[in-house]
Parts: sequence; C-alpha cells; structure tokens
Amino acid sequence: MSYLPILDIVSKLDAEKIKKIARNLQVGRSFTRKADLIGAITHLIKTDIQAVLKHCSVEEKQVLALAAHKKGRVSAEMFSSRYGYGFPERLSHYSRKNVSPYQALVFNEGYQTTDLLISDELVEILKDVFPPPAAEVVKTTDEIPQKHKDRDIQIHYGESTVFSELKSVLRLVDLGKISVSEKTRKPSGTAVKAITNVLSVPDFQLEDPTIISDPYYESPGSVRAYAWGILVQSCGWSRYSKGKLKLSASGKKAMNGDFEEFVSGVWSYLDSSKFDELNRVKTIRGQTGKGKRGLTDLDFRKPNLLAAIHAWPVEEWISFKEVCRFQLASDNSFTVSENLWHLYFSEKQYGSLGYDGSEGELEKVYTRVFLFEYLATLGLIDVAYVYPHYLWPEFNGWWGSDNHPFCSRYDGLLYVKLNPLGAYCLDVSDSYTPPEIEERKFFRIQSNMELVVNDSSLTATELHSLEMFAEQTSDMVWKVSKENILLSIEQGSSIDELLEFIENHSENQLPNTLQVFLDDMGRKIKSILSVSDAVLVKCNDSVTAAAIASDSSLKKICQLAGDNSVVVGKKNEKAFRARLRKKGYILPK
Amino acid sequence: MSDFNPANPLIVQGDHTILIEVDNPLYLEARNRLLRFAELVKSPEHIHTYRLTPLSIWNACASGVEVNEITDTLTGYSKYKVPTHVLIEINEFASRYGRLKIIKQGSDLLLVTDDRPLAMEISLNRQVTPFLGEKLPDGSFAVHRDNRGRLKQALIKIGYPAEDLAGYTTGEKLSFSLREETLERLPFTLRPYQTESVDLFHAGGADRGGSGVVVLPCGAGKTIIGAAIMDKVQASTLILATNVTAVRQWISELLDKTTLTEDQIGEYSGRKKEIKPVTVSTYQIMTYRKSREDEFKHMELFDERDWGLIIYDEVHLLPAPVFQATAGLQARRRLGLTATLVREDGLEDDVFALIGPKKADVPWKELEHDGWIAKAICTEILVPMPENLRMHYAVSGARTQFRIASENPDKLPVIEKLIAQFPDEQILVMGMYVSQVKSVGEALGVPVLTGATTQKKRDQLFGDFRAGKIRILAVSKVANFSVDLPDAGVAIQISGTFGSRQEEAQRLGRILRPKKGLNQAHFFSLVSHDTKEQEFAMKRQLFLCEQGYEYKIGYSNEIL
Repeated sequence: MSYLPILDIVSKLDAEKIKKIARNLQVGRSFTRKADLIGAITHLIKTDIQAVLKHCSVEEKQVLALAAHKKGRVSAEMFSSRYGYGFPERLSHYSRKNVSPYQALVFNEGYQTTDLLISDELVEILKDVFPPPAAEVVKTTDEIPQKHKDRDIQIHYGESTVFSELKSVLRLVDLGKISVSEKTRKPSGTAVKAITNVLSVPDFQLEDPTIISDPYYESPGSVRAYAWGILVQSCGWSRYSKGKLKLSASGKKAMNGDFEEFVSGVWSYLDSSKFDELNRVKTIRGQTGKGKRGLTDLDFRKPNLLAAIHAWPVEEWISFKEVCRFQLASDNSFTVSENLWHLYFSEKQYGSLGYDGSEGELEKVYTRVFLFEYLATLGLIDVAYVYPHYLWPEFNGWWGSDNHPFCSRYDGLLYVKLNPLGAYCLDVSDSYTPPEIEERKFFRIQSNMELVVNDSSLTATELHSLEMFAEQTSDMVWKVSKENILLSIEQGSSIDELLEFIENHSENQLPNTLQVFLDDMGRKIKSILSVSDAVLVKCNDSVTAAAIASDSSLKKICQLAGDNSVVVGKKNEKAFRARLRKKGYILPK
Repeated sequence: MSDFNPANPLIVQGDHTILIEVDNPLYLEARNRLLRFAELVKSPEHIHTYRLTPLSIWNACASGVEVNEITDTLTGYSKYKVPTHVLIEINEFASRYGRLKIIKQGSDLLLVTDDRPLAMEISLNRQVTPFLGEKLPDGSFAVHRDNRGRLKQALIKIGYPAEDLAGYTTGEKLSFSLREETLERLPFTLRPYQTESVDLFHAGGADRGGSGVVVLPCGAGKTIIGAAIMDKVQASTLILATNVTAVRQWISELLDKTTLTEDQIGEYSGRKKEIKPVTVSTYQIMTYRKSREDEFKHMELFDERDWGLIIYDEVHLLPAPVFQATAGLQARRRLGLTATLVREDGLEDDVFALIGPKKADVPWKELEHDGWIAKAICTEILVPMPENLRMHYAVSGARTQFRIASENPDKLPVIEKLIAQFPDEQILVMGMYVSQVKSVGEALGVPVLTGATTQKKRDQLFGDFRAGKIRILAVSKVANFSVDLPDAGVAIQISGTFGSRQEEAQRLGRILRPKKGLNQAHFFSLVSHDTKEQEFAMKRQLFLCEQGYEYKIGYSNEIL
C-alpha cells in the first residue's frame, strides 16, 4: 500500500512523457505547463478511470487489477506465476508517439525492487472497476509417472507410518539413546543411526544405485532419521539433559498415542524458530558466518508456506514446480535471505548467490527441506521423489556447484500431497478420521520358525517389520532370528509387540514351538533389570580386595569382582571414598 | 498365461527351492509330479520345501522323466512366474544326462557319445582321462572294466553323468522265495508301495534297472523291500548294514519272510566270519584296519563270492572306503536303502554314480495316511533345573553344563508320570548317558540295555520286549540304529546327543510301526528348561518339525 497520492505518482514522469500521455488521453490540449498537464491527467484518473484504462494494454490492466486487490502491490514473481509471462515494466513501454497512461498509474519502490505499486487512492478507484481476480488454483497431477529421468519414482505415504514411527523414536528418547550436541542440539551420528534402525519404513531412498560403488560417491545421508532428532525437540516432546534427550510430559503423552498431543506438537514445531531448516543444505555456505545475519526469521518463512498449503487440495498430488508457482501466485512469497552476497557455493567471491539469476532459487531450496524433511516426516504430506544426484533443479550451473553432486539431498522431490492428517493438523479441514490400516495377512508361520510370505511384492513397511524379527533366507521364506529380535528389543520394541504383529499379519495361529521360544526370550530378557554406572577399584593384591569387600562398613556398598578388584556403584562412590578413608585407604581420583 | 495364479500350490524360487502349500486342493496332484524330479528338503505343517539339484534332475532323467514334464509341472502349478534362469538351468542339467553312455560291446566296455565336442572335452579333462582307454575311430573310448565306477564318479564330478547300460553279471545262483506266512504263521504279503518299489528297481531285469536307491521312511519296511528284490534277482547277496544289531535284524527278517535257511545266511562281523550265499556284514568291519597305513583287509569280502546283488542299508551312512570298493563293483546289481538321500558329508553324487539313481521315493505322510506307519506325536517337556543344581550349572563349562542339564534328577518324576499315562503301551526310555539310563532303570525297576550288555542278553531282552513280557525297557544310544522293536508305542527320550539329526530320526523310527486302534505313537523328549540342553533340543525340534511331525512343547508342572 502506498500513501502517495495519484498526483505525486504522475509527477514522477518527465515532461516529455507527461505530454505524450496527455495527448494520448486527449486532456489538457491547451495546457503547456507540465504542472497543468499533470493536474489534467490526475483529474481524469480520478473522475473517469475507464477513459484512462481504454488506452492500457491487456497485460497492463492485469497488473492494475491485481494491484487493486493485492493492497496496491504486484511482484514480478507473483504476476509471472499467475499469468505465465512477465508484467509490463513501468518505463519500458515506450514509443515515440504514444506513451501508455499505465506509466502514470504505477511506480517502483526504491531502486532494487522489481515490485510495481499503485497509490492507495487508485486502489480505491480500481476496486470498483475490476472484480477481484479469481482465486489462484493449484494445478494437480492426475497420475504420477513411474520414472523421472530414467529413475524410479519412490513414494512415501506418511500418514500410515508416522504414529508407529513416532512411538519408536520417543521410546528411544525414553531409553536415553538420543544424544545431541550440547551447542547446537542437533542429533549425533549415533542418534541418527539408532533412529534409522527403528523407522517404521526405511528412510527415503536417496542413494544413486548407478554410482554407489564409486569411491568418491557422496551419500545424501539420512532425512527422516535426522528430522526426528530435531522434531522431538521442536515439537516439545523431549528436553535436553546432559548431552541426551529426555522425554517430556507431552512426549510421554505422545508416546502413548495421544493424538491431541501430536497436533499440538506439530504446531510447536511450526511456531518454533530453534532450528533453521536451511542449515541442512550443506552446499550453501556462509550460513553460520556473515550470511547468517541476512537470513530471515523462520516465523516469517513458515507462515507464508503454510498460508499457501492452506489452499492445497487434500489428497491430490501437486508437482513441486507447481507448489513453488502457487506459493508466488497466491501472494505468499517469502525470502530466505535479505543479503544473498554472503551465501555461496564453494568460494565466497565467485560462488556467491548475490549474482543475478538466483531470484527465488533459495526459497525453493528452503521449501524442499521444509516439505521433504519435516512435513513428510511428520506424516502431514506424502511425497514422490527420486534420488538427487546431478538433477540440480535450482542453481543449475552456478559457479562452484560442479564441486557437488547435488545442491541438497532434497533435489529429487517431485510431487507432494496433503493427506487428511496434514489437512487436519494444518487447519485445512475440521475433522480427521485416521485411515483404516488394513491388517494384511501376508505370511504363514510354521513350527520350524519359518515364515513364508504370500506376496512376491511386499511393501517397504512389511519388509521392515519382518526384518525386526526374522531374516530372509530365500525369495519368499524368512526365518525367525533370535538376534534380530534382541536387537529390536534393545531399541525399544517388545515381545508383546512382536506377538501382536504376528497375530495381525499371520494367516495362521502362532505355533506352540514359537510361542514357547518367545516366552523363554521374554523371561530371559527380564532377568537383567537395569544398567548402571559403576567404579571398578583395582587393588594391589587379593587380600586387600577381600578385606575391603568384607569390611562391615563397606560391604553394603561394594562387592568383590574377581580376585583383586572391588566394584562400587557410581551412586555410592562418595560414601565409599569417605568410608575407605576411615580405614586408611585412599581412592585415587 | 498370467504371471500370478493364486489358486496354484507352488512357488518356485530363484535359489531352486520350490515351496508347496499343503492345504491347497492341488497339493497331491502337484506333489506327486514334483516328487519325480525334486528332493524333499523339509515338510513342516503348512508349506513343504523341495529342491531342484542337478542330481535330482538326473535322477528324474534316469527314471525316464522328460525335461518338458519338469518345466510344464513348474509353470503349470506355480503361483508366480517361474524364474527364467531356473527353467534354463533345468534344461541345461537335463541335457547333460545321457549324452555319455557306458555300453558293453562283446566283452569290452565303451564310453560312447554322439557329441564330438563333448568327446574332445572329456578326452582333455584331467579328472577323467586316467580312467579312459584308447580313443576309437568312431569317437568312443575303451573303458577298462576296473575303471567303470571311477569313470562314472569322475564324469559326475565334471557335470556329465554317464548312463550305465553295460549290464550286470548274474552272480552265483541262489534259489529261494518269499514266504506267504511268517514263521509265526502270520500272513505275509508285500504292501502295494513295496511291490511298486521293487518293480521300479528291478525293471523286469533290464539293464536300465538293477542299481539304484529306494527311499523309504523309517518303519516302512526297507528290509522287506531288500528281501523282495533278492527274490527277484535270485542270486547270492551281500548285505551291508550299520551295526551288528542291524545285521541280526536282517538275518531274522530274512529267515522270517523268505525260504532261506540258516545255513544259507552268514554273519560277517567282529565275532563271526561266515561267508554264505547270503552274507550280512557291517560297514564297521569292512572299514576296519589295524592302523592308518594298513589295508582294509575285510574289503576282500566283496570278492569272496560272485555276488549277484549287494544291498547297502542306510546308504546315507555309507563310509568313504566302501565307496572306493564299490567303484570296482559296477558289474554287480546294487541296491541302496535309506530314509533320506541327504548326506551330512555331501557325497550324494557318489551315491548317484556308484550305487545308482533314485528308483523310488514314498512320502511318509502318504504311508501314515494309509496306515502303514504310525502317526507320531512329538512332545518336548521342559523340566526346570532343581534349585540346588542351578548354581553348579551356572558356573560350569559348556560341556559339563550339557551333562548336568541332561541328567537333571527332576526328570524322573516326569518319566514316572508319563509311564503311568500309558499303562497299555510298550515303552522305551532312551538316554545318552549310561549312568543316567542305569539309574533311571533302577528307579523304575525296569531292565536296562547298554553297550556293555552281551549280545545274548540283548537278544533276550529284545525278544522279551517284542513278546510283551517286558513292557518298559531303558536303553542307551546302542539301540539307535536298526533295532526293530515292533510294539513300542511310546518313547521317552531322557537325554540326547548334541542335536544329531540322524539320532533323532532313528530314535523316532523305533516307534513308527503301525499300531492298533488310533495308530498313534508318542515320542516324549525331556529337556531341562533354560539350559544348554534346550539349545540343542531346539535343533532337534526344528528337524522334527521340518520332517513334518506334530511337535508340541509343554512344561513339567502341567504333567506333575
């Protein structure tokens, strides 16, 4: 919105143009002074705008119509996203005889921006002339192709797996297995690995199968496994404690399947500005240096993205290209950085993003991370993608980009779909009915501990579930594996869950042999109660060790371990030291 | 045809295994076809696994199955598209059988082939050339009669099994017949599957028959088949069995079911060295030598008479030196008898080359269904370790742990309870440790049979048990092999070896004779809970489940 009056805007033009516009509009024929001509043009605009508009081109009228209903401002991106071509520049429409009155109606703000503005006075006039432009509609895709550039397109349906995945991840948190950096709170490599092992379906398949054996191959790494490490914090389900995450009260609720807690967690993440998703794009450097200062606030970027998502149809695939177009066309554009000069590929001088040609590219990169890594992990959207190597959908050919196989691991994101869960959580719809997950009976289990699957093409979830407790021995046959079961239990699963899974998915009842096998395992697992830290005190000889271990004041808090050592629980260390001193011994620090 | 036919019972996998659904309406039809060219690997309750191997295909070819029949069966009964490479490999395997033939021309043996490049290939192969004679102008090779077996062995190793059409020596004539009534005046006739097996083996006396293996489950009457084939051949016969008890069993069966008399049947063992028209010996004595450097002097038995037939009992246990000797006996008819073609040492191809291809294979489920063998119900009973032994057990080494667990004294009340549950059944109590068997025998007040029991006493005990004079007999592992105890309806295994599959099958075999009434036999295995013994019992459990036996696990407190 500009508070400049129409008169001032017309006055921005030079005398030559004013004369031509006046002649064109057939006003002020007797006037020779510039001020008089400006006055006459201004008067005509205010009193008979139709007379002015008939001298404007269709494209110019489109700009004006849009501006009238977009608070007096039209950005180049918005216009081109909407109409598919650029808007008429203010000063470019020049001809010797005629100058369009359009130039007297719009103006540019400042030197750098390409936005076109009109006066708020004119906004009021034009509002009555132009009906509000039709609401921009997202173009959907009827069918996703099977391949993209000869790569198989993978699809991830988040809604069916998110809750089991969340439960597994929160259980890891509860077990104290998620370590994070004290400084950045980002999950450690070990934590990401642990999360990878409990994902309900394998992490996104982003490895390039054609060059994976290349010694210089760069792996895209984890997406969902990493995202969960961030989300459990941003969603308020965990808190930091001594290098690890601990389950919060809301985390406990979420772990127990409290749906409202999940929704509230989603909004905590959307409102959170703790972690900048852009940081996940490692090829764009400068984010922690000078470039950081130019980065916009997350509570500016995410609401704009969400505003556009609000207009997405539910359960319809949308190409990523269309997502970006609609983002701009629906006037929800946002910027990621106010100063692109300090962000760069490879080398600050040559690879800077400040050079021409980067307009809107960084925003697309950010959108990819937000959608692919976070919203898809939360199960709010479904995604279709391919591996990212050498696609370069953004910053293609940018100086320094040839040092990397991809701009980001998210380059292969091709389509997204707002699912019912996402629609409900993001306030697009008012109600949510969880999908009825078909408990498919897809194997038969036999008394010799073998499972024979009844379908040659199991889903990733089914395969992953089988891997939790069995090993594949041939195309259709799996064998129950004690080791796999123990590993799963160590990562938070349980025998009861396994039994439930078998009950839900086996065509026949659990054989007695397997029942006993699992019962025995369950009992053995419970034989060891817990793990706690201890101090091993090594003595010079067995006599000293025995003397300490049998001393009346010490024996309650220590015990003999082997011949020459005594073991003391970490929590008793202080008392042990004190009592040991009384006996004339010192425990070296 | 569509790639997915859910109504079909087969799944052919890329690793050459074939799964078949037992409860599919097409099961029997498909299984009967499958049996002809694939080996049964395991048969748990719902889905059985068969395997295609070069040997199984050659066995099929040897019995006249065409390759098209094999591929048609697979494609016709498969749920999913049969992996192309499997079909290609079946064709490849089958095409190799019969490209080489050993024939007799006058008194000479020849290796012949129409395939000149193949002739060239084998003439250059280092494994084969030592056993080939001169190359003749027509492209065939002369073969010295002593090399007939070794040449077949070498050819199978390089993947070209030779079809042996050189025929047999008739051997020394021996006239006898099968009885229509046993010595105890009970009617005796061959069962249909026994007749079929005998006919398939003998092939009317043709050169294509006369050597091969008959696969029958324990308790299906392999000795009877041996006797019936002897009757067909009517020649002096050498029978090799696994041990002396089995030797005696053969002798008593032959006396009982044939018109052969005691002076016609000899025992060649450590104790006796009789060589008669029918001689029964053990693998053990055949492979006996004083030191590693010595010769196997008892192998001379193979040449002591002009044997017209040699029978190898439990052929899957045939020791390597006997294979060597057998290589030189290719002119004699050879019959292998076994419950399984699977050898722990992987020498199945030697069995094929030197004894002969599989001639008959009757699935035990079919026999069980027809009532020829009893339905066995296997029950494992988990017995907790007594408190006072738990610590001792926990701190012992693995081997000792196994023994402590095996000899768990709390098994005794469970044994007593089980015996009480079957007051009308003949019961065998089987154990691995002699001291345990003795103490249990003593506690139960039942006779005990161990390795130290004299043969005379052993025969007496077996006789009494058979006659029903003794209802319960405690036996050590000595009774594992070839002891025929006709009326044992219940076996209680109180300790076993470290999960030996052979032992398990043999022990179970003791109770598979047909039973009156429900025709059911019970095999109980007592295992100390949460111990090393349970780990080994698990292997046994898997084996028995895969053999198709009904297997239950219970706890001792449910019985006591």
